[in-house]
Amino acid sequence: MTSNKNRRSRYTALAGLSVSAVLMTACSSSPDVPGSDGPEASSSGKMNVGVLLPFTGEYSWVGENVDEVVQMIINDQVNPSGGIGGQDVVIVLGDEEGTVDGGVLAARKLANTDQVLAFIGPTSLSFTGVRQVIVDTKTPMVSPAAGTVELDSAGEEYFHRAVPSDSLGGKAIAKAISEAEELLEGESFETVSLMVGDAPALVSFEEPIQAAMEEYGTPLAKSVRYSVNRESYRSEVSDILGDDPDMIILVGSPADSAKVMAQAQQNGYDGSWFVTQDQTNAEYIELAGADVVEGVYGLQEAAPEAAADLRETFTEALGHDPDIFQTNAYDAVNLTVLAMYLADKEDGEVTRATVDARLEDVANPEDGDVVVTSWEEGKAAIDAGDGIDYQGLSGPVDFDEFGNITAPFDILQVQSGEFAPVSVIQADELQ
Amino acid sequence: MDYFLQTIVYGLATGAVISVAAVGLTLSFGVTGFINFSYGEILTVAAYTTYALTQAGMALPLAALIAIFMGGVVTFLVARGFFEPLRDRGPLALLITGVGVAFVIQSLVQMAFGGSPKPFPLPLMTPWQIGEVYIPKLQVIILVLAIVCMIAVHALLRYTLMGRTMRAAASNDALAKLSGLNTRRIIGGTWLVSGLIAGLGGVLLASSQGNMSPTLGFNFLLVVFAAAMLGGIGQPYGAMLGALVIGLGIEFGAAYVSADYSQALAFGVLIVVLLVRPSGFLGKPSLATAGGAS
Amino acid sequence: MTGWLLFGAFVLTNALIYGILALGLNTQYGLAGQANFGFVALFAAGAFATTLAVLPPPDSPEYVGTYEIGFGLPWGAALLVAAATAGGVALLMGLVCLRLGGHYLAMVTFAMAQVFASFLANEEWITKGQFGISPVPQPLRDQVDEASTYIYLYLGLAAVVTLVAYILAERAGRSPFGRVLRGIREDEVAARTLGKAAGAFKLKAFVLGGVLAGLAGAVWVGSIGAVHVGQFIPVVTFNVWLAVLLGGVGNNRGVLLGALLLVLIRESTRFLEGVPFLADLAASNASFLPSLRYVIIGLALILVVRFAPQGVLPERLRKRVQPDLTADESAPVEPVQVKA
Repeated sequence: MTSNKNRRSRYTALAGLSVSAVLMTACSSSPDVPGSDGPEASSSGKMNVGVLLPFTGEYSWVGENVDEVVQMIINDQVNPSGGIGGQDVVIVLGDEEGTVDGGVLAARKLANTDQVLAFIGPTSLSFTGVRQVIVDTKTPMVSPAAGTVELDSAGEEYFHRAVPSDSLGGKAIAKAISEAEELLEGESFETVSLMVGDAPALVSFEEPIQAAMEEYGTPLAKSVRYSVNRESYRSEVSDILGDDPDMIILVGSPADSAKVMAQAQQNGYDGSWFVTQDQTNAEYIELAGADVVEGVYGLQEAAPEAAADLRETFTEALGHDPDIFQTNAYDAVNLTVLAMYLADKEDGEVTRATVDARLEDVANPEDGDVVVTSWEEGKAAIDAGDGIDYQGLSGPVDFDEFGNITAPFDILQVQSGEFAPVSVIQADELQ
Repeated sequence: MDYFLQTIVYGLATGAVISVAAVGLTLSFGVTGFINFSYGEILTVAAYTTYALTQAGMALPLAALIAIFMGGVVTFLVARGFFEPLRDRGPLALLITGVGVAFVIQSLVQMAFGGSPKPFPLPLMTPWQIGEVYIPKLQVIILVLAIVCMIAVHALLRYTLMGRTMRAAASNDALAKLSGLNTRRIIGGTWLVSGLIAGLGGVLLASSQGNMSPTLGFNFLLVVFAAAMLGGIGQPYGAMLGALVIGLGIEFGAAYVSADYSQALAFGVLIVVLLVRPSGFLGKPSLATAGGAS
Repeated sequence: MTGWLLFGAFVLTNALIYGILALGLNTQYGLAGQANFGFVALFAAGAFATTLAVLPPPDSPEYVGTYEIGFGLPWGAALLVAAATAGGVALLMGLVCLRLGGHYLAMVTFAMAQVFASFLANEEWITKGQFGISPVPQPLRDQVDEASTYIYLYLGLAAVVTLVAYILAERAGRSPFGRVLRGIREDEVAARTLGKAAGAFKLKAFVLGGVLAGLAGAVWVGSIGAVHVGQFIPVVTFNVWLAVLLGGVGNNRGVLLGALLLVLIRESTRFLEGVPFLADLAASNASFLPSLRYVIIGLALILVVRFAPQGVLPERLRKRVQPDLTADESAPVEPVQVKA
C-alpha cells in the first residue's frame, strides 16, 4: 500500500525538481524587450553570438578547442576595444552533445531564447538536423569545423564556413600523392590504400579521394571503412597491409589514427602515411608518439602572403601550437564580429539579416578594400570608412555563393618530431 | 593461412584486453545481481589516474599500482554511498542509479582533464614474430595478467572463507543473513575486489589503445558486458572464455566480413549463444532464464 | 518572450515524442514484464520507415538530392507505415527472444539493437549512413508561412498522435488482454498454467509497444525534418527507461509525466550559464558548464530513484499488486486488498 510517507516523499521529489528546473530557467538572463525571432530580431539590442558545437560526448574537444579562440578574441580584443554597437559581445554556448537531438535543441535554444545573431558552428554531425533550424530562424552560421560535402551546396543564404570542403581537401591529398615526384620531394607511390572512419566528419573524404585518385591516374588499391572508437584496429590494418601498399591515406579522429598508426607499425608497415587537417598538428604528434609519426604527410590550409606572420602571432597569443580547428575558429570568429561591426556602422542595426549580408562583404574582395587579418585591423579600417577584405589563417577566406571557401593547401611532413612545410598546392589547381 | 593465424592471434589479443574487465564485472554482477553501468567509469578513472601521476613525474609502474588501488576505493565508496542504500529496491532502480553515477563520474573526469585525448605513457613494443605472423607483446602480457586475475578470483571464490561467504550471499541473501554472515561486509569486499580488477582493466585498456578520453570506459562497457554474460554470470573462467570469444568474433568480423560489421558479428555470436544456452557458457541454468523473473 | 514560448513549444514536442516512446516501453515492460533494452531499434525503424514513405520519389518534380528511394506518400499513410514497420521489427525481436527473461532478455535485446544500428549505419542505400537524409518533407508545412507558427502547429499534431498512442496503450492495459498480461507478469505459476498462450500474449504486447515506438519515430522525423543514424544510440533507450521509471512503471499517465520530467531536467540545465556565479567559472574552462550539466542530470536521476522509487505516479490498479522489481523484498508480504 502506498503509504502517506511514500506519497509525500514522491511529491516532494517532484516538486523539488520542478521548482529547480523553473528557477534555473528563470534565473538566466532573459531579453529586456520582447522580440520575435524573425529577421527583424535585433536580439533586443543584445550582441549575443552562439557557439554551437559539442562540449560533451565523444567530440567535446571540438567545442573546447574552438571556445578557447572565441574567448580569446571576444574577451581580449573585441570587448576591451568597446564592443559592438556600444555593448559587449556575449558568448553563449550551445552543447550539441554529439547527437542529432542535442544539436537541434541547442540550436533552437540559442536562436529562440538567447536570440543569437549568428552561430559559430555547427559540426558535420549535427548539421543534418540543425540545417532546418538555421533556415527556420534565419540565423547565419559560420562553421570552423564542418567539412562535410553536405554543405557544398546547401543554400545561398545563411551557410558559411571557414574550413574548406572535404571534397577539396580530399582532392589535394590525391594530387599530392599522384604528383609525389614534384610535390613530395621526389617520392613516388604505386600502391595506395585508404582508411576512412565511419563518422559524419570523416566519410565526406572518401568519395573525393577515390574519384580524384582515379582521375589522376593512380586508382586506390583498397578502401576500408572502419568503425570509430574501437580499442583495436589490428585486423583492419592487417587487411589493408595485405596489398603491400607504400602509402596509406588515413582519415580519422586523432585518437583512432594514433591507434591505427601504432598498430600498423607493429604489423611491420614501413611505408608512408597521408593524413587530413585533423591530424596535422603538434597535439597529434604528441598523442601518437614522435617515433610513430616520423615522416607522415599532412595537409593544412595555407595562410596567404598578407598573413604570413599571422600564424606566429596567433601561436604566441594562444600560448601553444594551435590545436585542431583553432585556426579556422580564428577566422570564423573574426568574420562574424567584423560583419556585426560593419552592420552596425553601415546599416545602423545589427540583425541576423544584416549580419548575414555583411559576412560576404567582409570576406570577399572588392575594389578599394583594405586587406585585414585581425579584429583590430578590421575595426580600424571600418572606422576609417574603408571596405575590408578579411584574409586569415585558413587562406584568403572568400565565400562562393554557397558560403564555401577555397584555400591553397600546405603539404607538410613530420621531420624530427615537427611538421615542416614541403610544398604548396594552389586553390585553382584543384578545380 | 597466415592471415587466418594472424586473425586468431589478434582475436586473442583483443579478448585479453576485454577479459580483465570482464572478470571484475562478473564478480560484482554475480554477487550483487545487477547491471552496473558505472563500471566502465572505474576503468576511465584508473587510466586517468595513471596519466596524471606520470605527468607529475611518477614512474609508470607505481602510478599504475596507485591507479588500481583508486579503482577499488572509488568503487567501494560509490557502492556504499549509492548502491547499498538501494539494495532492496531491485535491479532496475540500481541500474538507473548506476547510469546516474556514470554520468557524474565521466563528467567530473572531463571537467578535470578536458575532452581531448591524452596519450598513455608507454613506449611501443616491437612484436614477436613467428614466420609471417606478428604477436603483439603488450597483449601477451595482458593475457598473462588476465589469466592470473582469473585464477586469483576463482581461488578467492572457491577456497577462501571470504569467497565462500560471497557465494553464499549471492545465492541466498536471506539465508546467509540468518546464518549469521555479515552480508554487508561481504558485499563491500566484493565491490572492493571488483573495483581493483576494474582498475587494472582500465590501465591495461589505456595502455593497449595508446591513448584515453573521458569516454574510454563507457565505450568499452558493451563488449565487457557481452563477454561476462556470454561466459555466465559469476563465473570468472567463463568471463575470460566469453571475452576471448568476443575478441575472436570482432577480429574475424573485421578481417573476413567487413570492418563496419565487426562488432555486429560479435553481438550476433552473443545472441546465438544466449538463445541456445541462456545462462552462458559456464553459467548454471536457473529460474532467471524463465520468462519474467529476474 | 515569443522566443521562450517557441523554444518551450519545441521542448514540449520533444517531451511528447519521448512520452510516446515511454508508453511503448511501458506496454512492453510495465504491462508484459519484458525488459527491452534495445528499444531504440524500434524507434529507428519507425523513423526510417517514415522517411522512406514521405520522401518524394526520384522522378517527381519535388525531388531533391541524390537519394534513390522515396514513395511520396502523405503523412497519414506514413504514420501507418511507421507503426507497421516498427511493429514488424518488434515481432521479429519478440519471436527470437521472448522466452528469455530478466538480465538475459535485457542483454539480448540490447545486442539486437546494436546489430540493427550497425545495419542502418552500413546500408547507406537505405539510410545514407553517416551523411543523413535532409531535408525530409514535414506534414502540413506548406499550409503555414511562418516557421515559428509551424512549431506551434506541429506541437498540436504531436499532441494528437500522443493522444492516440495513449488511448491505444490504455485500452490495451484496461482490457481483459491487459489483465491477463498483468497476471502473467505477477504470477509465475499462472504463466506456466497458460503455457504457450502466455507467450502469445507477451508477444502481442511486445508488438504493440513496437507500434507505439514507430509512431514516435514518425513524429520525431517530422519535428526535425531530417533523419540520421547517429540519433539511434543506446543512450536513447536509457532515456526512455528513465522516463518510465521516473513516471511510474505500469501507469500510462505516469510515464507521460516521467517523459516530461526527464526532458525538463535535461533541457533546463542548458540554462546553467544564467546562474550568476557559475558563469565566471565557465569562462576559463569550456568543459566546465556542459560537464556540470551532466553531473546535475546524473544526480537528479540518483535522487529521484532514491526518494521516489515507484515513480511519480505508480501503477494504480483495482487490486494492490506491485511490479516485482521495485517492491521492498525484505518486507513481509501484505495481504491483497481490493480497492473499490
